[in-house]
Amino acid sequence: MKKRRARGDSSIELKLTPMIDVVFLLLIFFMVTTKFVAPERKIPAFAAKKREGAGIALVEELELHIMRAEGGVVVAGPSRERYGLDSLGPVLKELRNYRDRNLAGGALSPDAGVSIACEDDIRWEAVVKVLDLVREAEIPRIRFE
Amino acid sequence: MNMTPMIDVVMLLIVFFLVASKFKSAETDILSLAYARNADRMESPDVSHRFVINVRFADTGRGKAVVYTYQGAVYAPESDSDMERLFGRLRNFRRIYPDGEVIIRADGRVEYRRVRAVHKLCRDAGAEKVGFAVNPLLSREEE
Repeated sequence: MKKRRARGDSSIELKLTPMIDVVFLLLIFFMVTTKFVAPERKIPAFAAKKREGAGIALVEELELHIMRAEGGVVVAGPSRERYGLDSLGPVLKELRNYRDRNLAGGALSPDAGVSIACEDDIRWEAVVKVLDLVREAEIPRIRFE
Repeated sequence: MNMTPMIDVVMLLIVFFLVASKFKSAETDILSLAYARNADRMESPDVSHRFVINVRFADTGRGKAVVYTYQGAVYAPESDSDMERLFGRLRNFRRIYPDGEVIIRADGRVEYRRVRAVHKLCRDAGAEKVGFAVNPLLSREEE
């Protein structure tokens, strides 16, 4: 056993080893638990009730159908042509055409929107893919059938 | 060995990780959101103005099923009384925060009808501001 220090010796000795142990432990804990993920985002979808007696809508909605076919999930636009989820380029083109048609006076008509009809058992991620396209075409209104 | 610079660096690293770590709030369940390129940032600073409904798979007695959760409470889509309760909470939220926003956080693998049902519930409760939570697919410029 070590001898106790004399009472007169009042200098404080800082033991670094345990402190460094703890600090390293903390450091490793944070390095392991930290996950850098981009924060979530949102696709706005206004759930406004249908206005009753608001008169006849001036602009026709563009209808998109999402359904199951032999090759998987397909999307059909107004041209009735069907496109797979990996080749939605033409659908985006149709959406953009629709948007440009409704861009009178530089502002999109408030009635211009897309209505989405989707089969019940289709995965949500497929619908999000289509919503993403609608957003890319800068059409603000989305309605679910 | 001169310890001071080393401790400086280590402390700096710890502080960095403390600051950079963001702990998810308790009301967001862990689920795999769908990815989207054209989504908006969520910028409501006050989380209490937000009503977050999770749509996710959960283990029930009879295998996996889709459930809705809000602030840790679980609501079964098949149960009318559960849906009634969720509807009541939505209505309450609407009354307290008329301009509050409802965020639907749906797992990408759930069926569309489950999400549509929640969306309809929001509409019936008079909540107009609704958003679907997604994971961002950042384009090259944003990265």
